[in-house]
Amino acid sequence: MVDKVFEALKSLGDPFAIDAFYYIDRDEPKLKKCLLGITTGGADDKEGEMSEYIDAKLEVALPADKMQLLKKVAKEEFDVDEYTLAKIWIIEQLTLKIRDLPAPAFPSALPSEGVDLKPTEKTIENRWQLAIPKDKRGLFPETDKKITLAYDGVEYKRSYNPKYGEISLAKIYESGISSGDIVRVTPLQPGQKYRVEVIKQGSNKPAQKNQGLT
Amino acid sequence: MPKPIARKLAEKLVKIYTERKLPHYAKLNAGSPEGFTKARIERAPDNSLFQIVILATYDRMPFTRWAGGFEPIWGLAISEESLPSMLRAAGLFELDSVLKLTEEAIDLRLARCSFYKHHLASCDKTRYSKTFIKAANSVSSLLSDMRLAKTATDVKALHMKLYKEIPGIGQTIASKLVMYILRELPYFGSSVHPRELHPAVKPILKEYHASNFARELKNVMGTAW
Repeated sequence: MVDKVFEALKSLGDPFAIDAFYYIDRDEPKLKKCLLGITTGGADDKEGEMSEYIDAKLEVALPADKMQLLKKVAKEEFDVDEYTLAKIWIIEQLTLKIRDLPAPAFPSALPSEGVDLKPTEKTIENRWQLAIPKDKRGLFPETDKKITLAYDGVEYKRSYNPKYGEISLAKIYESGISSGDIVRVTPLQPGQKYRVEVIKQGSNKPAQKNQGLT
Repeated sequence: MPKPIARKLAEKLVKIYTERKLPHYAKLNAGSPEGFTKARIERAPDNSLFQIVILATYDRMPFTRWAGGFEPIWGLAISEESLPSMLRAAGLFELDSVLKLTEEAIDLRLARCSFYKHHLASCDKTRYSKTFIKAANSVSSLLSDMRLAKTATDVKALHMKLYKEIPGIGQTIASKLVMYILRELPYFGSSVHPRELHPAVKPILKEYHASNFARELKNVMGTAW
């Protein structure tokens, strides 16, 4: 783009006029807005103080003329019909927009997976909170809030603070968790509600109610 | 053959450059005691060229960030501390004075300056005492080259001379200098036509504001150029 403008400035006999880019961006915010606006057919100051700089010279970019330009360019430079060229341009624009978007904040863990916690004997004895491994904290709220732990048909409200990344089992401990058991926490509604299961040592399945974990 | 939109934008840029930017900067220079005017340059072209070269070497990051823009660097439109007044106070703003100083003496004086709480002796790999010495000793030949310049080839050679011979001047600052001394402040006796300046133009597009606006225009227009 700049190269073509530069070539045009050379042919006009004043290539340093390209420094107007610097001047407009730094010192003329209103003019900049108008120029960027008119190139999409949306100038908002055509009758105002900038009108002398936003005259008919760029009006090729207005919708009606754009179609003419599109047909001409499509035929002469791309050898395709205007609809095909329009599609190509749209795809290119979308590609540019996607490229400029900030990188998505990927959760460090997928909501469908859970986190297995292994409380130690001391943790159980003292009813300490269980620390969520850092790579699994993406499953939990990003702000300090209450979450619901559903365990064996009962729902427990617990505070969760991402600063510490710990959950409190409290009464769930009383269901008979032993050292070596695995406490599996799985999101039911990520950020709000989680299922808690206790997998007894040596077993692959969650403990059943009649095993004393209610 | 440029495409129509590029041509029309170019026409608009020429209009904005000549009708808005140049008068705006001329007004800034005329309205400031440190400004470079026709009378000042014609009165002492060698001294003015030396001063412009020196100020241009400080018109860059991080100095512009510390000062909050180019205005304090050039002593324009400000009432607070300016680089020209500081250099003048240090005895480093007049060509004749600088020619009498050693590199060490210049270095010491620059180190004692406090421009927005920062010294002026060095930045990155640039040792500014070398810049002062080389600029002072090059002024005469630069003036001669400027006055003899007629073609794009001459301009290219002058541009190259600036960034290859004077420490602290890269291609971008050299381009700005060519723009100032051959296009915007044409009072040094040069008769080169603006159209011949093109070999020195492109590096100024690396500057933040220029590249920023070019990018935004490109995003708006896409491939419709």
